[in-house]
Amino acid sequence: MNVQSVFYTSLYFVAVLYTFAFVLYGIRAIKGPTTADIIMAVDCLSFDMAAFMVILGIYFRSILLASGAIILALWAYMLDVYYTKYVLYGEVEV
Amino acid sequence: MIELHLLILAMVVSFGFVFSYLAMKEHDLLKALALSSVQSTFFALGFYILAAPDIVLAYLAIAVGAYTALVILAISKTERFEVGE
Amino acid sequence: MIGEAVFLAGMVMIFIGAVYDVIASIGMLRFDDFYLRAHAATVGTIGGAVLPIFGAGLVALVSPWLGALRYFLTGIALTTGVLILLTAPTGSHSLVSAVYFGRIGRPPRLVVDHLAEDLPVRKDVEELVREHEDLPGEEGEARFVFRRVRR
Repeated sequence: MNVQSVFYTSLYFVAVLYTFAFVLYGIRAIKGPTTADIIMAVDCLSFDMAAFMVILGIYFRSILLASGAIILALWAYMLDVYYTKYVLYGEVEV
Repeated sequence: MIELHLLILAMVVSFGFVFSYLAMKEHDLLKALALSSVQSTFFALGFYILAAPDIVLAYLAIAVGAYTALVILAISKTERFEVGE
Repeated sequence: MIGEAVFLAGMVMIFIGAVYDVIASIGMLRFDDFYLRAHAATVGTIGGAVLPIFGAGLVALVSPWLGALRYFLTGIALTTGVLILLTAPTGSHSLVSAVYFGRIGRPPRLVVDHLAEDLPVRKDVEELVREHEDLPGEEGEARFVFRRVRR
């Protein structure tokens, strides 16, 4: 049993766990009573999705697929900052 | 053994459909914007599993970043709640 | 030998990160207050995203079937991990600050609130006015829009 088969069989269970977590975050984003709950759910969802993208990039052996994780992590941070600026100050400067 | 990535793709696309419907039926525009950002995040993973990395790079920068920033700017210049007919 | 040990450490980090992620999502679904959900969100971002990304970087560094591709994958993984480690606490902090100072939703059920007693109330939040008080909103949602008073 070499290293590669160990990696490929264990990634199956990791993908199942991540998919279950995505479903639960999505249910919280549907239920969430306030807007801040939805923003926090999409924050967690995008960061975990970036981790999942890096792991799947190793699985598919592709650099271009894995490099989408950096952009996802940075743009999801901007949503928090813009929501905070809108709620606290009422106006947003670009 | 089930093809797991097809299952993940089906889950992601159905969640995107549900969130786009909820964003369309919402009267609070800021909440609709948050729901739309959830939908675009799910669709990014869908494009990722369909093995289209260039579309992922463009779609993330537009649908998660520039779209939400511009719509929040527009909401801050106008009103938040949708009133009347 | 050292390569297999590093590979095993990376796989253990990925598995622990996935379990953290499931625990954080269950907590996110079942807690009934925004501040408790923020506590679950910190578990989900640091334990569920940064730890498996570093583990994936370690796995990609020592796996021989990737060829020359592994150095690029390791660099992408370490860069993403450091970026999430910087941006996730700041994002959560700004979001909870917006909810606390903007008075969104229900007030926090606290025994003692030192932030309201000790700190001086923020001036730009103090002089906000309410608009649209008669508009319908969801339960728990703020039914008005804060706007700063222009002088």
